[in-house]
Amino acid sequence: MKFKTFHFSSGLIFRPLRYFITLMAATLLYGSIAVAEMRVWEDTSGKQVKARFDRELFGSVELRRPDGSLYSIPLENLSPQDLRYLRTRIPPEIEIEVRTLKREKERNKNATRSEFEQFSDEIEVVTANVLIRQKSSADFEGALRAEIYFIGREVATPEIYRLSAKSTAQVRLTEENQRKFAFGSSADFRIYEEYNKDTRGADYVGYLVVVLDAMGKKLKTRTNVSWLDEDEKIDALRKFYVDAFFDANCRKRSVPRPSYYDARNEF
Amino acid sequence: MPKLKPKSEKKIKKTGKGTPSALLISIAVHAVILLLAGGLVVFSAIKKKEKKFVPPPPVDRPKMDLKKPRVKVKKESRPRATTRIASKSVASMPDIQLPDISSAGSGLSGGVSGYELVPDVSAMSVFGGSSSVAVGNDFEGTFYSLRYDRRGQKANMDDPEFRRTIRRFVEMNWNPFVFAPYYRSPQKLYTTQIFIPTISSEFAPSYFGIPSGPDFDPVFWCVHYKGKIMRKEGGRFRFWGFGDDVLLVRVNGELVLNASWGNDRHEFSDWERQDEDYKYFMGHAQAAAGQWFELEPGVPVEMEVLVGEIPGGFFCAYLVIEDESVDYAENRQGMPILPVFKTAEIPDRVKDKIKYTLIDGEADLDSELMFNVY
Repeated sequence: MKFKTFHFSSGLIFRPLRYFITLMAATLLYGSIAVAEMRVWEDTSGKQVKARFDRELFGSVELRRPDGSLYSIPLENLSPQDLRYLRTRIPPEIEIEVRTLKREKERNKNATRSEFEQFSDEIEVVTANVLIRQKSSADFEGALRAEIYFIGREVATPEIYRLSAKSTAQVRLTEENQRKFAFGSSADFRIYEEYNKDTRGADYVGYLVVVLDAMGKKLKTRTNVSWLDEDEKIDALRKFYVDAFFDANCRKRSVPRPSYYDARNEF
Repeated sequence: MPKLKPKSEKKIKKTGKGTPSALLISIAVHAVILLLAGGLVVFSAIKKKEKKFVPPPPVDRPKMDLKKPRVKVKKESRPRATTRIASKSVASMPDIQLPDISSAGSGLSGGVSGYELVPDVSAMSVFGGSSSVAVGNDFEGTFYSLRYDRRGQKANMDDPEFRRTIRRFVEMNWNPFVFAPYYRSPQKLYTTQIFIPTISSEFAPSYFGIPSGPDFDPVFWCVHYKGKIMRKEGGRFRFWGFGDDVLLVRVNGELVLNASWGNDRHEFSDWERQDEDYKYFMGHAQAAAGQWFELEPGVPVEMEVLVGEIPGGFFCAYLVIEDESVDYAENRQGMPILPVFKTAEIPDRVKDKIKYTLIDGEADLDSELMFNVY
């Protein structure tokens, strides 16, 4: 998800209308991503221009004037205060890489004693190693926030998904870390036999990684879940608490209950 | 001393002898004046003393009323009005979907670039949350593993010794000192209900901050919950429940429920079988009924709960409560569907966790019956 707006090269469209359409298109395409504020920019020669930040490309900052036209200033010609603004207020362009590993959970051999019960459950540990890399070249001194969500599917009710785990990390992209930030997170997926003999638990389905700026606006998302294809679904999923159940439209579903069991049979 | 007496007598005699009469008169007059003046001074001094003992003016009653609760608040460390508002807001907490930072069951590895993941502050398990959810109404839970000593070394523990230790705890007035030789988790959990449907006993240590894995043996553990309960209207109540393996409840210093597993419960305490004991089933075994107890209207009393696990495998602690004055609907076994014991509304996220392993009709999670002090 790029932080940019549409370009209109055609002069056929009336300017205010063109500007309106630009804004609307940006809103539709990028959901909750806010358009940068209109402000006065200055280069090292003292020349000023009123514009909003559009994007940073090939060592220059591209600004959009109120009339919709583009104006470009090389980064080295940008005034110190504008460079500071750029470094702290304009989040960088980033890309996300995720690698997942699966392994069986190593457990204590005494977790259940054999005379009482054998392990009948399987616990798969899914670890996601996330790498967030800055694409744009301008330094960014602010912090971003990364969120990772692990999604499972109930084995007894496959149409119901479960948010199995989520965690967050504060992301800083600096020269020291070569503008790459990596973190790992893991979740347990357990399938087991309930005391009433139901097979229950969740299988691993996939992950969702979201990176947000300091204001909580989404900068980039990455998922391997095919049905997480809309911003609304992603936003809904982010609001669920761990162990919440939901469907493929990310609508909350009631908790699947264990089936009736008459323990009298055992006594 | 004997020599002084004649000397002074002599002196007096000498003074009177040969003195002019005018001088004597003058001395007499002065003496009278002095006596009068002295009398006045004494009189005024007494007057002043009398003033000191004048009782203070009567204190306005409204002022006394204001002082009284203030002293009470200090003595009992009760939260003031602002705290009450905080606990009220707890009731509405379920509607606020605060994003969880992580699940207690999931492991989080640290940031590779030297940044740590945000610590888990909002995770709430069926054993409780790491911070208070309803100030003043919480039960504070302390986890002990009798499998390990205080230094984390394996302790000399087996089934009979575990049972004896629990009995010692019960007989020694529920003094946690009994568990002092064993490992105690620094992480305490806070909950407003004790209702843990059947789960794997492995989960308990992990909720108390001990990573589940090959290093920790999740057997011979217990959790001691301590809190206060109150019922504004008072009433007569009894607990029902089922614990695999330990579920003991005492109210105001009296053991009112021993719903521990099978015959183990007689090992933990001398417990007389109650009416309707073992008549119905909860989860995977029989439910026990407790002794009736009364709560004075508006009087907070202490309550403690001990839950625990002996061999590993399944663990549960179902604790529900019956109000004598209420007729309850019955489930398919004919058992009354009793309210889950609680001191605040159960947060939705916890309710969902409970429902996942609770058979429908075995308890009422949504009842209005609450035992909140504040």
